[in-house]
Amino acid sequence: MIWRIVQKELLGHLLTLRFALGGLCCLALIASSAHVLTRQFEGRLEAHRSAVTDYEGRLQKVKVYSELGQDVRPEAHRPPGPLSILCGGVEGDLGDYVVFGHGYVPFEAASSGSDNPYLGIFSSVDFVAVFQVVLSLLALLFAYDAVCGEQEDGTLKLTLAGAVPRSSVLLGKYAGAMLALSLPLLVSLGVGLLVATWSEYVSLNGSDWARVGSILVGSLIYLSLFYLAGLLCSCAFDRSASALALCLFAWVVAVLIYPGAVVFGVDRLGPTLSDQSVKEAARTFIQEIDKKVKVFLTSRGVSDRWQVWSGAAKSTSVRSEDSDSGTGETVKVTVGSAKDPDLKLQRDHYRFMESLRVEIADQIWQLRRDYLEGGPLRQARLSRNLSRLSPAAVYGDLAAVLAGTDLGAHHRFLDQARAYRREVIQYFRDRDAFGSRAWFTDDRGKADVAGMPRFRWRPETAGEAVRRGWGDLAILAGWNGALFWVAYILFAKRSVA
Amino acid sequence: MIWRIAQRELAGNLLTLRFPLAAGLIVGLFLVNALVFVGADYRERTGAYAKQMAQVQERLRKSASNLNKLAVEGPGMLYKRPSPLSFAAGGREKALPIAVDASRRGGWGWADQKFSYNWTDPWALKYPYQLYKSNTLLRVFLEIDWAFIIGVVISFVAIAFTYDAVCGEREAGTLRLTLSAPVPRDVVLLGKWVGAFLSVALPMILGMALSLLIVLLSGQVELSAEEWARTGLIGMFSLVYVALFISLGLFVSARCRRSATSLLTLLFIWVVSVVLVPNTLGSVAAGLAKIPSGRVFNQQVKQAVEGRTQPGGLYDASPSESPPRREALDRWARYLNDGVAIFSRITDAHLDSQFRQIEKARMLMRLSPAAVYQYAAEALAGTGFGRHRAFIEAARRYRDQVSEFIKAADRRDPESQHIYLVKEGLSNKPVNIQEIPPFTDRVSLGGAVVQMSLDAVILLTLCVLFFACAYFSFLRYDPR
Repeated sequence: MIWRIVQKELLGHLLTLRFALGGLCCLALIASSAHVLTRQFEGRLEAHRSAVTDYEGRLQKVKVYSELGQDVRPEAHRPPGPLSILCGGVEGDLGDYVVFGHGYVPFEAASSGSDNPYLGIFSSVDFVAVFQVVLSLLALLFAYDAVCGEQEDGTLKLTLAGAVPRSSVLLGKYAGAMLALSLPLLVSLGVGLLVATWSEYVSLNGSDWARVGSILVGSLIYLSLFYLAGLLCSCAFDRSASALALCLFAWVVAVLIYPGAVVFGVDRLGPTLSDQSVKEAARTFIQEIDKKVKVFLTSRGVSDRWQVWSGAAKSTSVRSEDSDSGTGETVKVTVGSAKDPDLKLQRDHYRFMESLRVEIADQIWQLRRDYLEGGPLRQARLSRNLSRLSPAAVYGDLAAVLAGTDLGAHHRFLDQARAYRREVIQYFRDRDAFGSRAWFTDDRGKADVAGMPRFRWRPETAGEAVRRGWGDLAILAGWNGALFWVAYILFAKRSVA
Repeated sequence: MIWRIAQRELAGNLLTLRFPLAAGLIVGLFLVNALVFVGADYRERTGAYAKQMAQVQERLRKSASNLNKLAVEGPGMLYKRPSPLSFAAGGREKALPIAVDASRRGGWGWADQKFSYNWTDPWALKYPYQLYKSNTLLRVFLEIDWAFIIGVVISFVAIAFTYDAVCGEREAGTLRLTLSAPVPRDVVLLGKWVGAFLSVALPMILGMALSLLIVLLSGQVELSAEEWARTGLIGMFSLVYVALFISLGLFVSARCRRSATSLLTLLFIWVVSVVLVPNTLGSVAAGLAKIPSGRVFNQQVKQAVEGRTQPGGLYDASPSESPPRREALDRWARYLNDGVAIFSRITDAHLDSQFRQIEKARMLMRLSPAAVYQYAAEALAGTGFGRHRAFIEAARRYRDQVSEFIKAADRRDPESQHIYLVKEGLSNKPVNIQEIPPFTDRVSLGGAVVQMSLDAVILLTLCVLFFACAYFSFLRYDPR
């Protein structure tokens, strides 16, 4: 019997104007945004590739290790993920490469290819945003007259006059509408992915497909939530016009206003954040280096840093740049006829100084991390938690987590970049690069940069992403359960006379 | 008679569920808007601006100790003044740079056996993308300002109030009754129009008044006569915008037989034109033009500036010899001035090409009446991209003004060699800081009106067009 009701409902929906308009609207938007976003993705991938090539080219020219401390600092590049076409998240905004040094722990990323930063005043629409807005509205439009509309027409009385339990009627309506809703979802997602994978730049691997699948499941749960909300309104009101009015206003608030308003409020009302104290503390830490090096040199009978090379070098060039976060210097020396051909003093000097730099950089990072935790990250978390009241925001966050474009994925990249920094330092230590001759001169063989480990971005597996999105998924599912339950009770008690 | 119909419509609207929902939402949003603005937002921005201006003055005072120092260092950062009307239209100011940098570009030195000279590349306008607040982890994609409340929410309310105005009455059978009385159809339509307009405009005006009242009572903002005029114009265009959507709603309602169809069509138009078009077309237009990326551009500038032709014999003599040799000064002046000219030409052109891209995108976005209305409101509030462009143009005018001032001040010093722009060729006297022209970036009301003229024309045309459509559709409407 249920199956008969499902069939009837499905057919009823498919033949309506709202289905045709909503479906077409969704399809057209997805197809056009797929085209635009794929072009953008191609541009970002191109920029990423040329940045990597450029960096490798600069590495090839490195002669002495100390260049890696200042002139050619190591970099970590993250390729753009193809799923950003489905859900852009924050991936495009927060940068895709990190420059660091043994004297500098990275905490933010830069962007390799933003042609026009002014484009930031426009927002762009990805697949998930279209589903978020258009299909949720369609779900409500399917639902608002499901019960009270039928009652107005008098068909509900007829249906219930037959020997059909009310639960079957409600379930049948739900199943029929969900089938009808999944149709535009599946078709437009399919068309969008087709447009995207048409490009030779986009290739999805197994894990990506698993992610697409989980986003699809999340979208269905999201749509079902809106259908059930509409059904509840429909069961609660006598007139379909009232049900519709309430549904539409709730939709405007939950989908269009609330998620943005939360971020707006947290941003405007939150305390002004300033990393000035971190910068000042960093400056004192950096001055520490000079002091300790001076003590070290005095113990070796050298009065001052610049005396280290007196009598041992024909020429020296030092390029250094103090920044707020760390220091580094590139030393290039043409060795003259020194008393000690092994240059023990000079090598000891750099071994001491550069090891100190690593420590100081780590200490500055501790301060910086505390600041980030207490300020910007806390605000971001606060706004995320507050926005969880709106199912649309939960769905958007969930999709970004599943697509690997959320803030968590960005922090994963920064964490990996910091781990990579440790690898590079370990590489230096393994061959005593800080205290080697190749630190400052290539007269007995140049620095071995070819053997230095390179950064490889390791994205989350689909399973890890799903585990991280579990909470959001549970919220959506919880809403579904609660709405269905209330709708059922209202429907069961409804008088259809 | 019109008034009777309008009254009836108004009363009918007030008694439905949608009216309290809509009015509550609208007034609530206006309150949020005002409270956020007076709560922290404006105070912080004006505070930051005052601090920045103090820094600028301090720096200027140091540079003014010596004319040739000022000539090299330049006037420093030029900051954009926060608009007191940003509660009406925020204009995504957070995503736009807050300043232009007019200070020197970096130090150089050269030394070999016969020659040593440390020089500085003189100041030029640089356009760093420096934003106001540093928390990049928060992605603010929506501002609750008047432009949003009216552009998105009130247009929606207007549709909700008009979709069944004609076809709903036909379904209920009351339209036949009304038209059977000796009332001309145009009077009926006009009455309906006025009734619907009032039911939307009244909560809106109430909200605006409340919001304005809170802002004024907070004592943080004192509006000048000009700013009152701007606010008034924003209010006026908001009414035009509401009228546009009311006419559209009546038009569609008078084209449809069933109110469900009418609602659906209107919702579809609204979602596409108000929600989706303003959010998609920006990135579409971005794909239309190719601009070299920041990295490539920086390399281009570096190559062009460092690779410029050096005047013959540049390294024969240093301008820092005393007394300086005239030909050395001339050669170095030519070399440095060339550098500034090349740097400025490339940098300006790059910024202009970025601006052209944005203008193209904005032009495309004008397909959406919501975007048109937003641009008009931004222009009047003195925020947004249009204001930023005006700010950049003011900075460029100021650049010429300052160089003229330096040359004029130098001419007054008889001891100077009058060779612009080598430090050693210019006056060594202090400058009276009061005489340095101040940077002003106000856009006059006239300028704002010119900026928004296209948007105003579009809004008014659409409004008249939709009303005419509604009128003719209703004249031929079959009430059976």
